[in-house]
Amino acid sequence: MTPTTDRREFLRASALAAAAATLHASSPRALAESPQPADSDVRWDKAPCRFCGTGCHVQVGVRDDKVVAIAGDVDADVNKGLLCVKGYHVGLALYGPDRLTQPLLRRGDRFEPISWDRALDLIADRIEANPARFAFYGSGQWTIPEGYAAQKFMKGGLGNNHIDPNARLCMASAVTGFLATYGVDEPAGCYQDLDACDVLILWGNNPAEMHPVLFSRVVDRRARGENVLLIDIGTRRTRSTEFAQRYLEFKPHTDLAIANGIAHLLLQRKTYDAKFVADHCAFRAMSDPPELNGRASTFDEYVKSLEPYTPEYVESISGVAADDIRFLADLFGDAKLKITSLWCMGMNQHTAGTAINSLVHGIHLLSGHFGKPGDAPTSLTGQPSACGTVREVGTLSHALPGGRLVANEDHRKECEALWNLPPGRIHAKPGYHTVLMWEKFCTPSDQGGDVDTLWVQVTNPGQTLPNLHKLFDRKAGLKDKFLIVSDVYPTATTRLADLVLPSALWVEKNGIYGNSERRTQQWFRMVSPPGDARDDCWQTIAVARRLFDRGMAGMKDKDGGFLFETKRDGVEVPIHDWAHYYDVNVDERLFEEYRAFTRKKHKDLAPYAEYVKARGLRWPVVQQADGSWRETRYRFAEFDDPYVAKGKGIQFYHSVSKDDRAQIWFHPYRDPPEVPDAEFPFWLCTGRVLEHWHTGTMTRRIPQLARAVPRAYVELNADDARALGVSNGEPVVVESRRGRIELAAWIDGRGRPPRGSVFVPFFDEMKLVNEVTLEAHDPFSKQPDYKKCAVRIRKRSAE
Amino acid sequence: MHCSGLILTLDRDPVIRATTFECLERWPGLTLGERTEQRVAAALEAEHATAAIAAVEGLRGCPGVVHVDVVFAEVSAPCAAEDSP
Ligand code: SF4
Repeated sequence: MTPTTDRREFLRASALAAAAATLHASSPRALAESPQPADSDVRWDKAPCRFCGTGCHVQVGVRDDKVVAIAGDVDADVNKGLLCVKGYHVGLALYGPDRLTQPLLRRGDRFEPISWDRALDLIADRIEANPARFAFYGSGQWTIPEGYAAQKFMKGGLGNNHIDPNARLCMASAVTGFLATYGVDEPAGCYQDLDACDVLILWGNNPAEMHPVLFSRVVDRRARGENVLLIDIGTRRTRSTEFAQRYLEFKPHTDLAIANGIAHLLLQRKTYDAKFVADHCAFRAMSDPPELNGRASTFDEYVKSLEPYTPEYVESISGVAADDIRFLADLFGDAKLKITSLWCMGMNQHTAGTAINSLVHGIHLLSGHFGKPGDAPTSLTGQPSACGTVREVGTLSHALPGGRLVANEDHRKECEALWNLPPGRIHAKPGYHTVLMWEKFCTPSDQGGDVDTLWVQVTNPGQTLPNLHKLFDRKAGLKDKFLIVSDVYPTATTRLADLVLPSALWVEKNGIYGNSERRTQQWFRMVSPPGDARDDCWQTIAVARRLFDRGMAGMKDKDGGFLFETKRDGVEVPIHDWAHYYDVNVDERLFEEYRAFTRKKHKDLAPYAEYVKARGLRWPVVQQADGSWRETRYRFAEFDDPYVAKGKGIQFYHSVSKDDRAQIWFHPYRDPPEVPDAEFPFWLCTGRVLEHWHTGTMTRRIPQLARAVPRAYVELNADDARALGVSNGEPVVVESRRGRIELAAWIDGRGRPPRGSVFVPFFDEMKLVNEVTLEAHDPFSKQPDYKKCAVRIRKRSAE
Repeated sequence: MHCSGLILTLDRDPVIRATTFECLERWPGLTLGERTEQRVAAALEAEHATAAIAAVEGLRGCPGVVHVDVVFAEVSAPCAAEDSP
């Protein structure tokens, strides 16, 4: 055989071996070992996928300091060896031709390479000059140690709470929904609910494209003859709709009316679970003035509030037939069924996001479809560590690690004690949330713009902020503002940056993520970053050290030691010096410190070494009498959650009402802030596509994915296209009151919007749909609504 | 040459499955491997990665194929001429 044939044979055999291993792993006879393609040159190790919040594990094949192969990890509970099209190309995300490899400083219209020393000094100068006017904008793609270091640097070091993540844009309403309902964040159930449910309801959710490996669990069950009823409640037909037995199309924003309609019928027909409600639930309504936890309500008030929401009234608001509302209520009223609800951005990117999240939890509580495998209200996240780094580490402007709040004096004191800080170091006032932070940064200083220096790590706000004209582009003319961007590729954000820092990506560094089902996942550095690219965590620590060396008091603990002091055998390791950063495992050092914060809200984490062995563990992870560590699949349920008191069955032990009860909320339906009218007659919804991940910074560099979906487009309904005289592929203008973009029309494409609606994906840097979107946001979560605003559509040739 | 490992999930009707196998066995570059009742492991060779994506989409349209999961990909030659953006 020639070497080429040899290699072909080898690859084919490897592919077949990986597929066969997955075949058996996803059957009940899971293999004990992970069979991997055998190639003596290739070293294999585990890592979570870099992309979505599903958190699949991959096996990464490395040869000669380069990732050369990717296989699904058959030992991983999340994906049992399966990957989606993005996952199996994830290794290529490292090798785009335009990786950033050196720090770059703006000189007029150009960037000039500078040394790391100079870059760190510049940042330290800006912060030292005015620490209170500095802000940090992070990410649900920050690893847990990266987010933790940034959090400690800002809140524990600078006494500055202006730190917020991009996850504010994607799941903040899920957080406020969980908090308002259970008093503690994150789903009670886990992915195994998908294996156990009889009914799966997608609330404005398209997992076939956004969480494809999770979706394939359900498809697989159906293919094996299991009876899983899939109901898609959506505003446009998607790939998920193709698999659904029922598609219920609703008018944008009216999901609140649908949820209220279901609750109305459960009460009217007395098919709600009276015992579950009596034993485990309390009622809540909005306070005046409005507050996240509202005010206590009563069952009678709840019933009365829901009286107007008859099926016919709900139909008149939502467009969903009254009989379909009855059908949904029939399902929830059937105690024998197991019902899982899934949602993601559709319910979160919503000006009433907290309300709709709470209402869907409420239907599950009212009907008792909670706390058993398959009976769960579950929100998914879009980013790989939106849960781990944002929600758990608390990198939000109002939060502290482990579910604590900056506004709570006890919480501040606990954090100061754990960080060994002098009392009063942590500021009591929440910092600026994302939209406000950018507004302050892009407003001239003499007009109240009191953020002067902003550091962005691992995210691309120049593409993702809503109403970009107002919240991002305006920075261009402001000479006293300084934007620092740490990233791996040039992006829409680096274009406006004053200083660009090259970062290490994924397996070029150690990392820990936390996925959508409370699973904490660890990996090791496997290859070197290119050129002078360095870990984001190191960048933060190195700046902190500069400030420490200059004598800034905030960078010292109360004994005068450096905030990130790291010792080995009693001797300090200078981790702020890149040459020594990997002399110790900084991730382990920070994780062990962070772990102490996690117990308060029963989000206990195991020691770092346990995560090295496992393909992730779901918290709370609690040590057993024999010394082993046990994860928790189902929270608040006695059969699995070690924190539920014996005999309680279900216990909401962080209850808002402090009586172990979850809150069933009433929220009325109210119209959205902008609706189509004669001038702007179409609804615009934005979102993602299977082949690209978020702003496409990584996936657009993967030729296979870029070619599959090279450009953004606008999905048009065929009748609307006919009325506009637009044919497939023809350029059209999508215009709102805020801006306009030109896109090719896609008619009867992968997604099919109803008449009067259009859809545009946001992955394409050349077609920034957020020039058009509205920055209106939920009053509690502060999450903007990217799913609806009013636009008009015109043929470009008609202009 | 680009090589992928696939899991094909097939319809549970054995009559439909029989025709599916006829289609799969003729599919260019596809080698079928181990199978369970409704799932079959396969290796797919394509000229380049873009062609592999197109082939996976094509397989999704093959009668009786319910779902295609990709579980292995060779990424050592990412930028063959055909794949350059
Ligand atoms: S489903 Fe998400 S985590 Fe899994 S392989 Fe695809 S992108 Fe990666």
